[in-house]
Amino acid sequence: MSSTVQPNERMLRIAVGWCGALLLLVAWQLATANSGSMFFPTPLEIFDDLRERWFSDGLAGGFLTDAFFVDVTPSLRRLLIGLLVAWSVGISLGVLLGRIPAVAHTVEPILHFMRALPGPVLLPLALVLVGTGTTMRVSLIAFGAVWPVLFNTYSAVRRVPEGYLETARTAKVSRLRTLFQVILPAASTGIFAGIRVSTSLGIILLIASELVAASDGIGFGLTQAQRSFQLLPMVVHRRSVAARLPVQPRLERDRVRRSALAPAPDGSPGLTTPKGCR
Amino acid sequence: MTTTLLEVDDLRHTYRTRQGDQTVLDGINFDVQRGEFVSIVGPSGCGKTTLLRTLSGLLRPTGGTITLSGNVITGVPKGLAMVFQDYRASLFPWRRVGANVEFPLLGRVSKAERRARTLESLSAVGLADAADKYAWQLSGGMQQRVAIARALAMRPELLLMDEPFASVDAQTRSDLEDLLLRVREQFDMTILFVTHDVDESVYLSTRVLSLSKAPTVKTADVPVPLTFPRDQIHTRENPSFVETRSEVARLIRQASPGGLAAAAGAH
Ligand SMILES: Nc1ncnc2c1ncn2[C@@H]1O[C@H](COP(=O)(O)OP(=O)(O)OP(=O)(O)O)[C@@H](O)[C@H]1O
Ligand SMILES: [Mg+2]
Repeated sequence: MSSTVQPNERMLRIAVGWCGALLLLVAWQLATANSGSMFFPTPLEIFDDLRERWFSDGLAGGFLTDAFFVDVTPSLRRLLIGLLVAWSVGISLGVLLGRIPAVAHTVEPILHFMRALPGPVLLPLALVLVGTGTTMRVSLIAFGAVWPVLFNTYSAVRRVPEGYLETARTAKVSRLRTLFQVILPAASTGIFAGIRVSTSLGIILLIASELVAASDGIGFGLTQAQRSFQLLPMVVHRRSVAARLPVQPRLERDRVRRSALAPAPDGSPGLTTPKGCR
Repeated sequence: MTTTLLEVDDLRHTYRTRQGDQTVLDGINFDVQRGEFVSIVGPSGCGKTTLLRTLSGLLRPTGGTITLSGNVITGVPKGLAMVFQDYRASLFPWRRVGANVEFPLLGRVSKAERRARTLESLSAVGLADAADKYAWQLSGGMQQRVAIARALAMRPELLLMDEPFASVDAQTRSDLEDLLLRVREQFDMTILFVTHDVDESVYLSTRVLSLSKAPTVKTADVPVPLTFPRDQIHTRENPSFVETRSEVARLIRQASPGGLAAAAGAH
Protein backbone atom coordinates (compact mmCIF):
# COMPACT_ATOMS: atom_id res chain seq x y z
CA MET A 1 0.00 0.00 0.00
CA SER A 2 2.45 2.57 1.19
CA SER A 3 4.80 1.76 -1.68
CA THR A 4 2.24 3.13 -4.15
CA VAL A 5 1.91 6.34 -2.19
CA GLN A 6 5.59 7.06 -1.78
CA PRO A 7 6.55 7.71 -5.43
CA ASN A 8 3.68 10.17 -5.79
CA GLU A 9 4.76 11.93 -2.68
CA ARG A 10 8.29 12.18 -3.99
CA MET A 11 7.11 13.58 -7.31
CA LEU A 12 5.09 16.16 -5.47
CA ARG A 13 8.07 17.18 -3.39
CA ILE A 14 10.25 17.53 -6.49
CA ALA A 15 7.56 19.56 -8.23
CA VAL A 16 7.24 21.89 -5.26
CA GLY A 17 10.99 22.35 -5.22
CA TRP A 18 11.13 23.30 -8.90
CA CYS A 19 8.19 25.65 -8.51
CA GLY A 20 10.10 27.44 -5.79
CA ALA A 21 13.14 27.84 -8.01
CA LEU A 22 10.98 29.06 -10.88
CA LEU A 23 9.24 31.61 -8.68
CA LEU A 24 12.58 32.91 -7.56
CA LEU A 25 13.70 33.32 -11.18
CA VAL A 26 10.55 35.20 -12.08
CA ALA A 27 10.98 37.48 -9.09
CA TRP A 28 14.56 38.08 -10.08
CA GLN A 29 13.56 38.92 -13.65
CA LEU A 30 10.92 41.36 -12.46
CA ALA A 31 13.23 43.00 -9.98
CA THR A 32 16.10 43.50 -12.44
CA ALA A 33 14.08 44.32 -15.57
CA ASN A 34 13.15 47.75 -14.29
CA SER A 35 16.32 48.59 -12.45
CA GLY A 36 18.16 49.83 -15.54
CA SER A 37 21.43 49.42 -13.69
CA MET A 38 24.18 47.70 -15.62
CA PHE A 39 25.25 45.99 -12.43
CA PHE A 40 22.10 43.93 -12.32
CA PRO A 41 21.38 42.16 -15.62
CA THR A 42 18.14 40.21 -15.86
CA PRO A 43 18.23 36.43 -15.78
CA LEU A 44 17.06 36.32 -19.39
CA GLU A 45 20.01 38.46 -20.49
CA ILE A 46 22.32 36.26 -18.52
CA PHE A 47 20.88 33.13 -20.05
CA ASP A 48 21.17 34.61 -23.54
CA ASP A 49 24.77 35.57 -23.05
CA LEU A 50 25.55 32.18 -21.60
CA ARG A 51 24.00 30.42 -24.58
CA GLU A 52 25.84 32.56 -27.07
CA ARG A 53 29.12 32.30 -25.24
CA TRP A 54 29.23 28.54 -24.80
CA PHE A 55 26.38 26.77 -26.54
CA SER A 56 26.09 28.23 -30.04
CA ASP A 57 28.24 26.36 -32.57
CA GLY A 58 31.85 27.29 -32.66
CA LEU A 59 34.29 27.39 -35.54
CA ALA A 60 34.90 23.66 -35.41
CA GLY A 61 31.17 23.08 -35.64
CA GLY A 62 29.01 21.20 -33.15
CA PHE A 63 26.95 22.41 -30.27
CA LEU A 64 29.65 23.82 -28.04
CA THR A 65 31.66 26.92 -28.78
CA ASP A 66 35.43 27.19 -28.60
CA ALA A 67 35.07 29.45 -25.59
CA PHE A 68 33.44 26.54 -23.79
CA PHE A 69 36.61 24.53 -24.16
CA VAL A 70 38.67 27.41 -22.88
CA ASP A 71 36.44 28.40 -19.99
CA VAL A 72 34.64 25.33 -18.78
CA THR A 73 36.31 22.04 -19.62
CA PRO A 74 39.71 22.82 -18.07
CA SER A 75 37.97 23.84 -14.85
CA LEU A 76 35.82 20.74 -14.81
CA ARG A 77 38.82 18.52 -15.35
CA ARG A 78 40.79 20.11 -12.54
CA LEU A 79 37.86 19.95 -10.19
CA LEU A 80 37.14 16.33 -10.99
CA ILE A 81 40.71 15.15 -10.58
CA GLY A 82 41.19 17.17 -7.43
CA LEU A 83 38.00 15.87 -5.88
CA LEU A 84 38.72 12.27 -6.84
CA VAL A 85 42.10 12.51 -5.15
CA ALA A 86 40.53 14.13 -2.08
CA TRP A 87 37.82 11.50 -1.86
CA SER A 88 40.06 8.49 -2.23
CA VAL A 89 42.68 9.79 0.18
CA GLY A 90 40.05 11.01 2.63
CA ILE A 91 38.05 7.81 2.68
CA SER A 92 41.07 5.50 2.93
CA LEU A 93 42.71 7.53 5.66
CA GLY A 94 39.42 7.99 7.49
CA VAL A 95 38.79 4.25 7.53
CA LEU A 96 42.33 3.62 8.70
CA LEU A 97 41.99 6.10 11.56
CA GLY A 98 38.55 4.84 12.48
CA ARG A 99 39.61 1.22 12.61
CA ILE A 100 43.03 1.50 14.22
CA PRO A 101 42.91 3.62 17.37
CA ALA A 102 46.69 3.61 17.72
CA VAL A 103 47.05 5.33 14.34
CA ALA A 104 44.28 7.77 15.20
CA HIS A 105 45.93 8.81 18.46
CA THR A 106 49.26 9.41 16.79
CA VAL A 107 48.20 11.41 13.76
CA GLU A 108 44.98 13.09 14.86
CA PRO A 109 46.64 16.21 16.34
CA ILE A 110 48.70 16.72 13.19
CA LEU A 111 45.63 16.33 11.02
CA HIS A 112 43.67 18.86 13.02
CA PHE A 113 46.54 21.28 12.71
CA MET A 114 46.70 20.83 8.95
CA ARG A 115 42.97 21.10 8.58
CA ALA A 116 43.00 24.43 10.35
CA LEU A 117 44.89 25.95 7.41
CA PRO A 118 42.29 27.46 5.11
CA GLY A 119 42.76 26.31 1.53
CA PRO A 120 42.98 29.70 -0.22
CA VAL A 121 45.73 30.80 2.15
CA LEU A 122 47.86 27.98 0.82
CA LEU A 123 47.62 29.36 -2.68
CA PRO A 124 50.83 31.41 -2.56
CA LEU A 125 52.66 28.48 -1.01
CA ALA A 126 51.29 26.13 -3.65
CA LEU A 127 52.44 28.56 -6.35
CA VAL A 128 55.95 28.47 -5.02
CA LEU A 129 56.06 24.73 -4.39
CA VAL A 130 54.19 23.25 -7.34
CA GLY A 131 54.29 26.11 -9.84
CA THR A 132 51.47 27.52 -11.88
CA GLY A 133 50.40 24.44 -13.83
CA THR A 134 47.37 22.24 -13.53
CA THR A 135 49.15 20.21 -10.84
CA MET A 136 49.10 23.23 -8.54
CA ARG A 137 45.37 23.74 -8.96
CA VAL A 138 44.58 20.05 -8.61
CA SER A 139 46.69 19.64 -5.50
CA LEU A 140 45.21 22.74 -3.94
CA ILE A 141 41.71 21.38 -4.51
CA ALA A 142 42.71 17.96 -3.24
CA PHE A 143 44.38 19.37 -0.15
CA GLY A 144 41.50 21.64 0.75
CA ALA A 145 38.72 19.17 0.00
CA VAL A 146 40.24 16.16 1.71
CA TRP A 147 39.43 17.25 5.28
CA PRO A 148 35.65 17.03 5.38
CA VAL A 149 35.80 13.61 3.75
CA LEU A 150 38.52 12.41 6.08
CA PHE A 151 36.95 13.55 9.32
CA ASN A 152 33.43 12.55 8.35
CA THR A 153 34.62 9.10 7.33
CA TYR A 154 36.65 8.78 10.50
CA SER A 155 33.79 9.56 12.83
CA ALA A 156 31.28 7.54 10.81
CA VAL A 157 33.55 4.50 10.86
CA ARG A 158 34.10 4.84 14.58
CA ARG A 159 30.37 4.90 15.14
CA VAL A 160 29.59 1.72 13.20
CA PRO A 161 27.49 -0.27 15.69
CA GLU A 162 29.47 -2.95 17.51
CA GLY A 163 26.63 -5.39 16.76
CA TYR A 164 27.34 -5.19 13.01
CA LEU A 165 31.01 -5.90 13.53
CA GLU A 166 30.36 -8.77 15.89
CA THR A 167 27.90 -10.24 13.46
CA ALA A 168 30.59 -10.16 10.80
CA ARG A 169 33.11 -11.69 13.20
CA THR A 170 30.90 -14.59 14.29
CA ALA A 171 30.03 -15.21 10.65
CA LYS A 172 33.79 -15.53 10.08
CA VAL A 173 33.59 -13.16 7.15
CA SER A 174 36.97 -11.97 5.82
CA ARG A 175 38.36 -8.57 6.82
CA LEU A 176 38.11 -7.24 3.29
CA ARG A 177 34.50 -8.28 3.02
CA THR A 178 33.79 -6.78 6.43
CA LEU A 179 35.28 -3.50 5.20
CA PHE A 180 33.35 -3.33 1.95
CA GLN A 181 30.10 -4.95 2.99
CA VAL A 182 29.73 -3.88 6.60
CA ILE A 183 31.89 -0.92 7.59
CA LEU A 184 31.59 1.20 4.45
CA PRO A 185 27.84 0.71 3.97
CA ALA A 186 27.23 1.39 7.65
CA ALA A 187 29.33 4.56 7.44
CA SER A 188 28.06 5.67 4.04
CA THR A 189 25.75 8.42 5.28
CA GLY A 190 28.61 10.16 7.04
CA ILE A 191 30.98 9.61 4.15
CA PHE A 192 28.56 11.16 1.67
CA ALA A 193 27.99 14.13 3.93
CA GLY A 194 31.74 14.67 3.78
CA ILE A 195 31.78 14.30 0.03
CA ARG A 196 29.08 16.92 -0.32
CA VAL A 197 30.92 19.47 1.76
CA SER A 198 34.18 18.69 0.00
CA THR A 199 32.60 19.31 -3.40
CA SER A 200 31.60 22.85 -2.62
CA LEU A 201 34.98 23.48 -1.00
CA GLY A 202 36.58 22.12 -4.16
CA ILE A 203 34.68 24.61 -6.31
CA ILE A 204 35.79 27.50 -4.15
CA LEU A 205 39.39 26.40 -4.33
CA LEU A 206 39.14 25.83 -8.06
CA ILE A 207 37.97 29.36 -8.73
CA ALA A 208 40.47 30.80 -6.29
CA SER A 209 43.33 28.95 -7.93
CA GLU A 210 42.22 30.03 -11.40
CA LEU A 211 42.23 33.64 -10.43
CA VAL A 212 45.99 33.38 -10.24
CA ALA A 213 48.36 32.85 -13.12
CA ALA A 214 45.85 30.95 -15.24
CA SER A 215 45.28 31.00 -18.96
CA ASP A 216 41.93 29.27 -19.01
CA GLY A 217 39.07 28.15 -16.79
CA ILE A 218 36.09 29.74 -15.11
CA GLY A 219 38.12 31.76 -12.65
CA PHE A 220 40.29 33.06 -15.48
CA GLY A 221 37.22 34.08 -17.46
CA LEU A 222 35.95 35.86 -14.40
CA THR A 223 39.09 37.94 -13.94
CA GLN A 224 39.24 38.71 -17.66
CA ALA A 225 35.72 40.00 -17.59
CA GLN A 226 36.36 41.93 -14.41
CA ARG A 227 39.40 43.67 -15.85
CA SER A 228 37.60 44.66 -19.02
CA PHE A 229 34.64 45.73 -16.90
CA GLN A 230 32.20 43.45 -18.68
CA LEU A 231 29.47 42.86 -16.19
CA LEU A 232 27.44 40.34 -18.10
CA PRO A 233 30.17 37.78 -18.77
CA MET A 234 31.18 38.10 -15.15
CA VAL A 235 27.73 37.21 -14.00
CA VAL A 236 27.56 34.38 -16.50
CA HIS A 237 30.80 32.94 -15.31
CA ARG A 238 29.90 32.97 -11.71
CA ARG A 239 26.42 31.71 -12.50
CA SER A 240 27.90 28.78 -14.36
CA VAL A 241 29.98 27.96 -11.36
CA ALA A 242 26.88 27.64 -9.28
CA ALA A 243 24.74 25.86 -11.83
CA ARG A 244 27.23 23.28 -12.91
CA LEU A 245 27.37 21.50 -9.61
CA PRO A 246 24.21 22.31 -7.74
CA VAL A 247 25.57 20.68 -4.63
CA GLN A 248 25.78 23.70 -2.42
CA PRO A 249 25.22 26.57 -4.80
CA ARG A 250 24.38 29.09 -2.13
CA LEU A 251 27.77 29.09 -0.52
CA GLU A 252 29.48 29.36 -3.85
CA ARG A 253 27.30 32.15 -5.21
CA ASP A 254 27.72 34.22 -2.13
CA ARG A 255 31.43 34.04 -2.23
CA VAL A 256 31.84 34.75 -5.91
CA ARG A 257 29.32 37.54 -5.95
CA ARG A 258 30.89 39.27 -3.01
CA SER A 259 34.35 39.09 -4.51
CA ALA A 260 33.23 40.06 -8.01
CA LEU A 261 31.33 43.20 -7.14
CA ALA A 262 33.55 44.54 -4.43
CA PRO A 263 36.92 42.92 -4.86
CA ALA A 264 37.68 40.88 -1.79
CA PRO A 265 36.12 42.89 0.98
CA ASP A 266 36.94 40.07 3.37
CA GLY A 267 40.55 40.16 2.38
CA SER A 268 40.27 36.79 0.67
CA PRO A 269 43.36 36.31 -1.40
CA GLY A 270 41.28 35.14 -4.37
CA LEU A 271 40.80 38.43 -6.15
CA THR A 272 43.48 40.63 -4.73
CA THR A 273 46.40 38.50 -5.79
CA PRO A 274 45.96 38.76 -9.55
CA LYS A 275 46.34 42.51 -9.37
CA GLY A 276 49.45 42.16 -7.32
CA CYS A 277 50.73 39.60 -9.75
CA ARG A 278 50.58 41.85 -12.71
CA MET B 1 25.82 -42.53 22.67
CA THR B 2 26.57 -39.00 23.68
CA THR B 3 29.76 -37.12 22.94
CA THR B 4 30.94 -33.93 24.50
CA LEU B 5 30.70 -30.91 22.22
CA LEU B 6 31.61 -28.09 24.57
CA GLU B 7 33.73 -28.08 27.72
CA VAL B 8 34.03 -25.02 29.89
CA ASP B 9 36.76 -25.25 32.50
CA ASP B 10 37.21 -22.73 35.31
CA LEU B 11 36.16 -19.85 33.08
CA ARG B 12 36.92 -16.43 34.56
CA HIS B 13 36.52 -12.96 33.27
CA THR B 14 37.41 -9.65 34.83
CA TYR B 15 36.56 -6.41 33.02
CA ARG B 16 39.29 -3.86 33.53
CA THR B 17 37.87 -0.36 33.41
CA ARG B 18 39.02 3.03 34.58
CA GLN B 19 36.65 2.73 37.53
CA GLY B 20 38.48 -0.41 38.59
CA ASP B 21 38.36 -4.10 37.93
CA GLN B 22 35.05 -5.93 37.91
CA THR B 23 35.08 -9.70 38.15
CA VAL B 24 32.07 -10.98 36.28
CA LEU B 25 32.76 -14.68 35.76
CA ASP B 26 34.39 -16.30 38.74
CA GLY B 27 35.22 -19.87 37.78
CA ILE B 28 32.47 -21.44 35.70
CA ASN B 29 32.51 -25.16 34.86
CA PHE B 30 30.15 -27.16 32.69
CA ASP B 31 30.01 -29.53 29.73
CA VAL B 32 27.50 -29.69 26.92
CA GLN B 33 26.83 -32.97 25.10
CA ARG B 34 25.98 -33.12 21.43
CA GLY B 35 22.24 -32.73 20.87
CA GLU B 36 21.52 -31.13 24.22
CA PHE B 37 19.47 -27.98 24.67
CA VAL B 38 21.01 -26.22 27.64
CA SER B 39 19.45 -23.11 29.10
CA ILE B 40 21.37 -20.69 31.27
CA VAL B 41 19.40 -18.55 33.69
CA GLY B 42 20.69 -15.82 35.92
CA PRO B 43 19.81 -12.36 37.16
CA SER B 44 20.36 -9.30 35.00
CA GLY B 45 23.98 -8.19 34.98
CA CYS B 46 25.36 -11.50 36.23
CA GLY B 47 27.42 -12.01 33.10
CA LYS B 48 25.29 -14.16 30.79
CA THR B 49 26.17 -12.08 27.74
CA THR B 50 29.78 -12.04 28.84
CA LEU B 51 29.72 -15.83 29.07
CA LEU B 52 28.30 -16.23 25.56
CA ARG B 53 30.78 -13.72 24.17
CA THR B 54 33.66 -15.75 25.54
CA LEU B 55 32.14 -18.98 24.20
CA SER B 56 31.73 -17.45 20.75
CA GLY B 57 35.35 -16.28 20.71
CA LEU B 58 34.38 -12.60 20.53
CA LEU B 59 35.84 -11.94 23.94
CA ARG B 60 39.01 -13.51 25.28
CA PRO B 61 38.39 -14.57 28.87
CA THR B 62 40.94 -13.58 31.47
CA GLY B 63 41.11 -17.15 32.76
CA GLY B 64 40.11 -20.76 32.09
CA THR B 65 39.66 -22.71 28.89
CA ILE B 66 36.83 -23.42 26.49
CA THR B 67 37.00 -26.50 24.29
CA LEU B 68 34.73 -26.99 21.31
CA SER B 69 34.80 -30.37 19.54
CA GLY B 70 38.13 -31.08 21.21
CA ASN B 71 39.79 -27.80 20.16
CA VAL B 72 40.60 -25.04 22.62
CA ILE B 73 38.94 -21.81 21.49
CA THR B 74 41.24 -18.87 20.83
CA GLY B 75 39.25 -16.94 18.22
CA VAL B 76 35.81 -17.30 16.69
CA PRO B 77 35.52 -21.06 16.07
CA LYS B 78 33.98 -22.80 13.09
CA GLY B 79 30.61 -24.47 13.37
CA LEU B 80 29.19 -21.90 15.75
CA ALA B 81 26.45 -19.36 15.25
CA MET B 82 25.16 -16.69 17.55
CA VAL B 83 21.81 -14.96 17.87
CA PHE B 84 22.38 -11.69 19.65
CA GLN B 85 20.35 -10.15 22.44
CA ASP B 86 19.68 -7.06 20.33
CA TYR B 87 18.55 -8.19 16.90
CA ARG B 88 18.15 -4.58 15.76
CA ALA B 89 21.88 -4.03 15.99
CA SER B 90 22.75 -7.25 14.19
CA LEU B 91 20.63 -7.15 11.02
CA PHE B 92 22.05 -4.91 8.31
CA PRO B 93 19.48 -2.29 7.30
CA TRP B 94 20.99 -1.85 3.82
CA ARG B 95 20.56 -5.52 2.94
CA ARG B 96 17.30 -7.19 2.20
CA VAL B 97 16.17 -10.03 4.44
CA GLY B 98 17.41 -12.70 2.05
CA ALA B 99 20.76 -10.96 1.67
CA ASN B 100 21.07 -10.72 5.45
CA VAL B 101 20.49 -14.44 5.84
CA GLU B 102 22.95 -15.14 3.05
CA PHE B 103 25.64 -12.88 4.51
CA PRO B 104 27.59 -15.47 6.57
CA LEU B 105 27.81 -17.73 3.52
CA LEU B 106 29.44 -15.16 1.24
CA GLY B 107 32.73 -16.29 -0.19
CA ARG B 108 32.27 -19.70 1.35
CA VAL B 109 29.67 -21.65 -0.58
CA SER B 110 28.48 -21.50 -4.19
CA LYS B 111 25.74 -19.14 -5.25
CA ALA B 112 23.26 -21.92 -5.91
CA GLU B 113 23.95 -23.42 -2.50
CA ARG B 114 23.57 -19.99 -0.89
CA ARG B 115 20.20 -19.53 -2.53
CA ALA B 116 19.02 -22.94 -1.43
CA ARG B 117 20.17 -22.53 2.15
CA THR B 118 18.70 -19.04 2.43
CA LEU B 119 15.35 -20.25 1.20
CA GLU B 120 15.44 -23.30 3.45
CA SER B 121 16.31 -21.24 6.54
CA LEU B 122 13.73 -18.59 5.84
CA SER B 123 11.08 -21.23 5.23
CA ALA B 124 12.00 -22.89 8.51
CA VAL B 125 11.15 -19.68 10.36
CA GLY B 126 8.09 -19.04 8.19
CA LEU B 127 9.49 -16.03 6.37
CA ALA B 128 10.03 -17.35 2.85
CA ASP B 129 7.84 -14.53 1.52
CA ALA B 130 9.82 -11.79 3.22
CA ALA B 131 13.15 -12.40 1.47
CA ASP B 132 12.88 -9.23 -0.63
CA LYS B 133 11.86 -6.92 2.18
CA TYR B 134 14.15 -4.94 4.40
CA ALA B 135 14.48 -5.97 8.02
CA TRP B 136 13.18 -2.63 9.26
CA GLN B 137 9.96 -3.27 7.36
CA LEU B 138 9.26 -6.27 9.61
CA SER B 139 7.92 -6.53 13.15
CA GLY B 140 10.24 -7.21 16.06
CA GLY B 141 9.30 -10.89 16.23
CA MET B 142 9.84 -11.28 12.50
CA GLN B 143 13.24 -9.59 12.74
CA GLN B 144 14.27 -11.99 15.45
CA ARG B 145 13.17 -14.85 13.18
CA VAL B 146 15.39 -13.42 10.44
CA ALA B 147 18.29 -13.41 12.89
CA ILE B 148 17.54 -17.05 13.70
CA ALA B 149 17.30 -17.90 9.99
CA ARG B 150 20.70 -16.33 9.43
CA ALA B 151 22.15 -18.50 12.18
CA LEU B 152 20.47 -21.58 10.69
CA ALA B 153 21.89 -20.85 7.24
CA MET B 154 25.34 -21.31 8.74
CA ARG B 155 24.39 -24.89 9.67
CA PRO B 156 26.06 -24.56 13.04
CA GLU B 157 26.84 -27.47 15.32
CA LEU B 158 26.41 -25.19 18.27
CA LEU B 159 23.91 -22.36 18.35
CA LEU B 160 24.33 -19.70 21.01
CA MET B 161 21.30 -17.57 21.77
CA ASP B 162 21.37 -14.55 24.06
CA GLU B 163 17.91 -13.79 25.43
CA PRO B 164 16.56 -13.89 21.89
CA PHE B 165 12.92 -13.53 22.89
CA ALA B 166 13.29 -10.92 25.60
CA SER B 167 11.79 -8.05 23.64
CA VAL B 168 8.72 -9.61 22.04
CA ASP B 169 5.21 -9.97 23.42
CA ALA B 170 4.06 -13.13 25.25
CA GLN B 171 2.15 -14.67 22.34
CA THR B 172 4.97 -14.12 19.85
CA ARG B 173 7.35 -15.43 22.44
CA SER B 174 5.63 -18.79 22.82
CA ASP B 175 5.36 -19.04 19.03
CA LEU B 176 9.08 -18.43 18.74
CA GLU B 177 9.81 -21.00 21.45
CA ASP B 178 7.93 -23.67 19.52
CA LEU B 179 9.57 -22.58 16.29
CA LEU B 180 12.97 -22.94 17.91
CA LEU B 181 12.18 -26.47 19.08
CA ARG B 182 11.05 -27.38 15.56
CA VAL B 183 14.14 -26.04 13.80
CA ARG B 184 16.31 -27.74 16.40
CA GLU B 185 14.90 -31.09 15.26
CA GLN B 186 15.11 -30.14 11.62
CA PHE B 187 18.70 -28.90 11.71
CA ASP B 188 20.01 -31.23 14.40
CA MET B 189 21.80 -28.61 16.48
CA THR B 190 23.10 -28.30 19.99
CA ILE B 191 21.75 -25.15 21.56
CA LEU B 192 22.94 -22.99 24.43
CA PHE B 193 20.16 -20.62 25.33
CA VAL B 194 20.46 -17.69 27.71
CA THR B 195 17.33 -16.36 29.38
CA HIS B 196 16.26 -14.83 32.64
CA ASP B 197 12.92 -16.61 32.52
CA VAL B 198 12.81 -19.84 34.54
CA ASP B 199 9.63 -21.09 32.84
CA GLU B 200 11.07 -20.58 29.41
CA SER B 201 14.28 -22.34 30.35
CA VAL B 202 12.48 -25.45 31.59
CA TYR B 203 10.02 -25.50 28.71
CA LEU B 204 12.74 -25.46 26.05
CA SER B 205 15.65 -27.39 27.52
CA THR B 206 17.02 -30.74 28.30
CA ARG B 207 19.04 -29.15 31.11
CA VAL B 208 19.05 -25.86 33.01
CA LEU B 209 22.12 -24.17 34.46
CA SER B 210 21.67 -21.32 36.86
CA LEU B 211 24.15 -18.60 37.64
CA SER B 212 24.57 -16.46 40.74
CA LYS B 213 24.85 -12.73 40.61
CA ALA B 214 28.30 -11.32 39.89
CA PRO B 215 31.00 -12.40 40.66
CA THR B 216 29.26 -15.28 39.00
CA VAL B 217 29.47 -19.00 39.67
CA LYS B 218 27.25 -21.85 38.61
CA THR B 219 24.64 -22.48 41.28
CA ALA B 220 22.56 -25.28 39.81
CA ASP B 221 22.64 -27.88 37.05
CA VAL B 222 19.21 -29.42 36.72
CA PRO B 223 18.19 -31.99 34.06
CA VAL B 224 14.69 -31.58 32.66
CA PRO B 225 12.85 -34.95 32.61
CA LEU B 226 10.44 -34.06 29.82
CA THR B 227 10.13 -35.60 26.37
CA PHE B 228 9.89 -33.86 22.98
CA PRO B 229 7.80 -32.64 21.22
CA ARG B 230 6.64 -30.15 23.80
CA ASP B 231 3.40 -28.28 23.90
CA GLN B 232 2.70 -24.86 25.38
CA ILE B 233 -0.41 -26.04 27.25
CA HIS B 234 0.21 -29.68 28.09
CA THR B 235 3.90 -29.51 28.87
CA ARG B 236 3.40 -26.61 31.22
CA GLU B 237 0.66 -28.57 33.05
CA ASN B 238 2.82 -31.66 33.33
CA PRO B 239 3.77 -32.36 37.00
CA SER B 240 7.43 -32.89 36.03
CA PHE B 241 7.47 -29.45 34.44
CA VAL B 242 5.98 -27.85 37.54
CA GLU B 243 8.35 -29.75 39.79
CA THR B 244 11.48 -28.93 37.77
CA ARG B 245 10.44 -25.33 37.49
CA SER B 246 10.05 -25.06 41.26
CA GLU B 247 13.35 -26.75 41.87
CA VAL B 248 15.22 -24.37 39.59
CA ALA B 249 13.49 -21.41 41.18
CA ARG B 250 14.36 -22.68 44.66
CA LEU B 251 18.01 -23.22 43.75
CA ILE B 252 18.25 -19.72 42.31
CA ARG B 253 16.66 -18.35 45.45
CA GLN B 254 19.07 -20.20 47.72
CA ALA B 255 22.03 -18.97 45.74
CA SER B 256 21.07 -15.36 46.24
CA PRO B 257 18.90 -15.15 49.35
CA GLY B 258 16.71 -12.09 49.43
CA GLY B 259 17.14 -11.58 45.69
CA LEU B 260 17.07 -7.98 44.53
CA ALA B 261 16.42 -6.68 48.04
CA ALA B 262 19.70 -8.17 49.25
CA ALA B 263 21.47 -6.93 46.15
CA ALA B 264 20.15 -3.44 46.76
CA GLY B 265 21.21 -3.61 50.40
CA ALA B 266 24.70 -4.65 49.40
CA HIS B 267 25.26 -1.40 47.50
N1 LIG C 1 32.55 -4.10 27.86
C1 LIG C 1 32.40 -4.04 29.20
N2 LIG C 1 33.25 -3.34 29.95
C2 LIG C 1 33.09 -3.27 31.29
N3 LIG C 1 32.13 -3.89 31.97
C3 LIG C 1 31.24 -4.63 31.29
C4 LIG C 1 31.33 -4.73 29.85
N4 LIG C 1 30.31 -5.51 29.43
C5 LIG C 1 29.63 -5.87 30.53
N5 LIG C 1 30.18 -5.35 31.64
C6 LIG C 1 29.72 -5.54 33.03
O1 LIG C 1 29.68 -6.92 33.28
C7 LIG C 1 28.51 -7.25 33.98
C8 LIG C 1 27.78 -8.37 33.26
O2 LIG C 1 27.31 -7.88 32.01
P1 LIG C 1 26.52 -8.81 31.02
O3 LIG C 1 26.11 -7.99 29.87
O4 LIG C 1 27.33 -10.01 30.73
O5 LIG C 1 25.24 -9.21 31.88
P2 LIG C 1 23.96 -10.07 31.48
O6 LIG C 1 23.88 -11.19 32.43
O7 LIG C 1 23.98 -10.41 30.06
O8 LIG C 1 22.79 -9.05 31.80
P3 LIG C 1 21.36 -8.91 31.09
O9 LIG C 1 20.51 -10.03 31.59
O10 LIG C 1 20.85 -7.60 31.59
O11 LIG C 1 21.58 -8.94 29.62
C9 LIG C 1 27.69 -5.99 34.14
O12 LIG C 1 27.85 -5.53 35.46
C10 LIG C 1 28.30 -5.03 33.18
O13 LIG C 1 28.32 -3.75 33.73
MG1 LIG D 1 22.84 -9.86 28.39
